[in-house]
Order: sequence, then C-alpha cells, then structure tokens
Amino acid sequence: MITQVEQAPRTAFRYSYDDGLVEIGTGLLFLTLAALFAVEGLAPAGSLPTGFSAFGLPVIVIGGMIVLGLALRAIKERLTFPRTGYVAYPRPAPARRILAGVIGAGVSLVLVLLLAARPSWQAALAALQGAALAVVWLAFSLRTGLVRMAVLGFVALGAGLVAPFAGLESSLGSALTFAVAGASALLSGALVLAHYLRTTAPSVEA
Amino acid sequence: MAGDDLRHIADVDRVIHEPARLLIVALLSAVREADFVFLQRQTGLTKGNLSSHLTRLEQAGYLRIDKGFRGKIPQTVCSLAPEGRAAFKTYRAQMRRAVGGSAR
Repeated sequence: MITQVEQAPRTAFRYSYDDGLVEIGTGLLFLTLAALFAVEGLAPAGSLPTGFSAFGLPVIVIGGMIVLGLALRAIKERLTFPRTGYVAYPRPAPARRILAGVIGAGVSLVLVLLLAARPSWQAALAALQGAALAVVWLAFSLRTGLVRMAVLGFVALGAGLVAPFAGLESSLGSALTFAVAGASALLSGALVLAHYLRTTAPSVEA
Repeated sequence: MAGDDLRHIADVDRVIHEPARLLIVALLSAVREADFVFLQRQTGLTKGNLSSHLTRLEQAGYLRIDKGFRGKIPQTVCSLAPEGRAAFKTYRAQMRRAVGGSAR
C-alpha cells in the first residue's frame, strides 16, 4: 500500500503515455524534420531548399508542437478518456516555461556559434542531435519509469553516432538521425496503442 | 525521542489516513483534475465504494467534485482543493517522521 501511494504521482504522470499517442505524434514530428533535412541535403548547392532549415526548423518545431497538442487532445477525447478516464495535468509555471525557452535558445545559439567558428564540426552535428534526443528520452524514462523511452533514447543516440561514419554529414546526417528516431518512436507508439486498444474497452460511470 | 516521533501517528489526519482515500488523494496530488473512471481504474475500488470515499473527502473540504456530461455520458471530475493539498503534505511529513522515528 505504501509503495502504491508513493508511486501514485508517477502513475498519474505516466498515464498520459499509456496509449502510445504521444510517441506516435513525436515520431511524426521527427519524420517531418527528417524530410526537411533530407530535402535540404539533397538539393543542389545554392538552390532555394538549401536554406530550408534556417526558417523551416522553427516553424515545424513550434507549429508542429501546437498542432500536435491540439490533435492529441482531440484524439484522446475520443479514444482514451472514454476507456481509461480523463486526466488534466497542471500547466508548468510561467517562470519554468520561460526558463525552458531560455535554455533551449541558449543551447541553439551556442551550437550555431560553434558551427560557424568551426565548420568542420558540422560532421558531428548528427551525433550532437542524437545525443540531445537521447537525453530528452532518458529524462522521460526516468520520470515515467518506462523502459521503452530509454530504448528510444539509445536508438536516437546510435543513429546520430552512425551518421558521420556512414559518410552522411550535416543535413543528410541529421535527416538519418531524425528519420531513425521518428520511425522508432512511431513503431513504439503504434505497438503500445495496439496493446492499449486490445486490453481496454469504453467504460461509463453509472 | 522515539515517543515524540511516534506521537505524530496519533495526530495524523484520519480522513486522509484511510488507505483508499490516501490513494485517491495521492493520485489527485499529481494532476490538476481527473474523472471518476480514471480514479476507479487506478484504485480498483467499486463504483459505490469510490463514490462514498469521494463524498467523504468532499465533506472534509479536501476535494472539489464537478458533475457534468461528456456528450451524453455523465462525467464526474475531481480535483484536490488547496486544503486537500495542504493536508496531504502535512500527512506525508507526519508519516515520514513517524516511520523514520520507528526505524531508528
């Protein structure tokens, strides 16, 4: 009982990942980013698509997260809440959101400045992206206790490390990293969703 | 010293101390709000049992209950009141002291 009570907050937090929808959405977002990097990497030098990521990346990341949030909410309303119940989580405090934004912008700025100062480091960009994705997945794994998220982190890290050795540098390396991370998240989410739908049924209160 | 620590057990909030209610409050402490279906699945209580525990918590001023509809289906949404969060925090501190005291 004591363990059950101690685990209750984590159980409540983990509930939002029980249906696999977050992983499916994240996978789709990563695959879109992979497509963006692939178009940029395959386009002839000097052509319009070579500058895609400069403006396309923030648009896809910010816009994608907004669309993803709305879509997830709508799908959960129809699929998850009738089966296993409705839960709403507290919104992070404004100060915490601002801090997260500042840290994200700071890391991006340092990365851009480093790459501008040492263009040869572009070869390691995919590895850095893979490491960043791994850190995020591992943080979620620790918070939720879900091992599959740690596995997704190691897959992303592996893809990032393999890209430079496969001769894929810069945009194409990033495309490979995000494609593998996206496909693995999509597959994981689809398997979890299939299991969730198989093992739950809509229930009513009265 | 151990007696002082153990005395905290006698002072614990009986409303929260009941195992089923403790689990309900612990679950709700991590979320903004949750509905009856979620609480029932997580606690494993029967509908009647869960309903009576929710009413007890509401009467103590620890819980807010909003009854509405999701489409045509009735939906009961529960959230911890600030008093409930404070009571749970106090309860955890008391239990931690009591269990720590008896462990020494």
